[in-house]
Amino acid sequence: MAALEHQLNPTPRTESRGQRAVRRVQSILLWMQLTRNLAVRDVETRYKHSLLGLYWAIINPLVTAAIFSFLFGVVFHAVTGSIPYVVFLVTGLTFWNFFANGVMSATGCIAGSAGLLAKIYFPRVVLPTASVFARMIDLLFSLIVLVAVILIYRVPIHWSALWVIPLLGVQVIFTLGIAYLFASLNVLYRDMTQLVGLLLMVWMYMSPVMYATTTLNGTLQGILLMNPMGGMLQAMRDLIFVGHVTDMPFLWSAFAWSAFAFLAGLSVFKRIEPLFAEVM
Amino acid sequence: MDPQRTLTDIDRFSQPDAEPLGSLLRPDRLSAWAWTLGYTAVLSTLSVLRYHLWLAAGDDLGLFRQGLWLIMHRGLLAASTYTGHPILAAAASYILVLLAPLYQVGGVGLLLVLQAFAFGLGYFFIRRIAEQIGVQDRWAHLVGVIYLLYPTVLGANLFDFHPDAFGIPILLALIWAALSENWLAYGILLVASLLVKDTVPILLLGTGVVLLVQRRIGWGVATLVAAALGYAVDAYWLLPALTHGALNPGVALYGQYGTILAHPQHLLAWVRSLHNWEYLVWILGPVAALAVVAGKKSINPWWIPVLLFLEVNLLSSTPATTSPFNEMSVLVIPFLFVAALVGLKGSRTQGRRLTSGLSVIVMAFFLVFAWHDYHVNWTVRPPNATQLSQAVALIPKDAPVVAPNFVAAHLADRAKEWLPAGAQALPAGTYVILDPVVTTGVTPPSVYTEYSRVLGNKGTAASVYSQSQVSVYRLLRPVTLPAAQP
Repeated sequence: MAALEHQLNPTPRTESRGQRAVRRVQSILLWMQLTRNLAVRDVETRYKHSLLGLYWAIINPLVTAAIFSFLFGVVFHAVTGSIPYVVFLVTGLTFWNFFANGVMSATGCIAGSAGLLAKIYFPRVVLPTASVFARMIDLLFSLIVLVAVILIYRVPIHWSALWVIPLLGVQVIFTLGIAYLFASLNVLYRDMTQLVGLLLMVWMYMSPVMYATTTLNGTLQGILLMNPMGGMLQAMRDLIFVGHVTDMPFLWSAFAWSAFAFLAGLSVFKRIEPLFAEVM
Repeated sequence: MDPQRTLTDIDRFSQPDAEPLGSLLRPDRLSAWAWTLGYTAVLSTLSVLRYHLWLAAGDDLGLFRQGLWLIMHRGLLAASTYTGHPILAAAASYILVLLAPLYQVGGVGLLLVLQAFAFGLGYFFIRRIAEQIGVQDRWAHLVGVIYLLYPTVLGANLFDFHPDAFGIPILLALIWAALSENWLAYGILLVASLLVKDTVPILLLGTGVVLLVQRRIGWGVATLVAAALGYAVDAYWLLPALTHGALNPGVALYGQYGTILAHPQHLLAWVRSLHNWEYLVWILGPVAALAVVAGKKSINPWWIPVLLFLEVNLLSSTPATTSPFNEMSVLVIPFLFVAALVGLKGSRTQGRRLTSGLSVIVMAFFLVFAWHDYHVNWTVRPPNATQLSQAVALIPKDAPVVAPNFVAAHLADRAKEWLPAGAQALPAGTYVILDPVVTTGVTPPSVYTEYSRVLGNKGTAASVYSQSQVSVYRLLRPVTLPAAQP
């Protein structure tokens, strides 16, 4: 009887606030540890039996940058002010790819872990979180490429570039929110994987990844910067190459979108979570 | 990494003490925050877009930006060149003192996001109050969504910037504290509400009466005392000191009650104006639909503060106080929705047809508002944004400047700034930006004609920039202009 009661009500009523707080902190630490372990496992399994291993994390952005540089820089003569087009593009692609790859890999992570979910209980939200954090490794390698390109082209950068680190934190929050949304929806509707691929492609062209908004008229510029990723990408470039954010109000609205995306994504995830076992 | 080790870690979570993080992660709370932040994101983006497109509904964004800048750089008592008085006297919004450091850090973008967040928080507190009263969750959500689509809320949010927005979460939290009998929170929120605007005491007067009607004598008396003290401090001490004896427009509204007391027949003096009835339809319409559902229960004491506040607005009958889409009416919204929630207490969901009917009415109000707002506030847009940006970039950082309202909002971080219609004695070295193509009502065409005449005189001003009808002049000698009525 006592065992059954403990199962139904694991939190004893006699527990003080302090004890409950300590237990919650312990839970969070455990979740974080689990997230880290799953993220590392994700990276390892992705590159384990490949010939070039982690070098793919450098090759992929380099090849993409080369293609787009030829297309937009040479064929279409994109105007990017004082920054060489290649540097401009690699900067945009570095931060965009982290977002797009994070969302893409998180979308299938729940549906792809059916065996694990059936076996034991753990907070399901850890899976998409780990998928997004696993992309940090790729981002790290992409940043090395970015630094190399900046050095090769001898583009001066500013100390304000250090502000990119907290801004990256906001981008992670935004990415997690979108990842939670699609990861949970993908359990119910498997078309999500296709849809997300399409959506990310459209989203990339609607964001200032390959072009500068400064050359556009005010209305179009405003519409493109309303997109939170647009505001964040522009701000990151500004912080590295200009020394200050030129469109600060749009960055604030991007912060509001990030907070909304995170909570809305988590909210949808929590609502769908009880259905995971049933559907899978 | 050994995959087996990862699984061992996971096993630790199968222990029964792995529980959710607490109330924040409850799906209903998460959902309430998501709605709040969703509104914040959409409305702050629209506000920022308006700023980016050089749209301004009035002159208040420039006024408050200059006021906040003055608080941080010249002290609390520095006079705004818009009003001639310290910004705290403009609406007795002492809350601006708390906003000034935030503005210093985040600029106009943070100001607009905070305003949208303050409005968005209304949804969160409506849900909490509904929970406290015992309103069914589905109704609470519907009332919350009606609030977020409420024309007055949306209109005021997109109407430049006003500290009145912060009154919504404070007043709703105040009501929540009263309902949950949290004395400490109630006391703090009473003081905070009095920092928002000089018209708050009238709402507190109504709240005090409501609490007395509910036989909560201690709470009611405390609220009435706070209302009386707030009014007395504003009307007899702070505002006269800040304005050197000039009567503040907000406090002057209370004079309407003096008129009623002396001449009771004036109580309904507003009924002959069609505009006043239109105002009432906009303010009460969407909530009236909820009253139909609530039936007799919709008549409850929480209408007292609503009626007191609306009566003041209607009796003053100025275009600003009887416009349903500006800041002059937002402070009544919390009480309007609490009245609706109390009416819905105990109501069960009464079928899809009723909910659909309600949604149609609310959407009809929303669509008419959206159509009106688009035509009034979004279509009058400077076509020469590039030239305006270039012109603004030419003005030195601390130079005195005269600019139309939609440009002034971009140049407000300086001690001396005037709107063309409000400027009279301009010192030498003042920069004047003119864009006669756009007429927003704040700067009538006759004012531009007067400026062209004065600035055309040789030796008065030097042309600094002129392109696509956007002109910048620098005054070479002091100029005195005739007073113009905007």
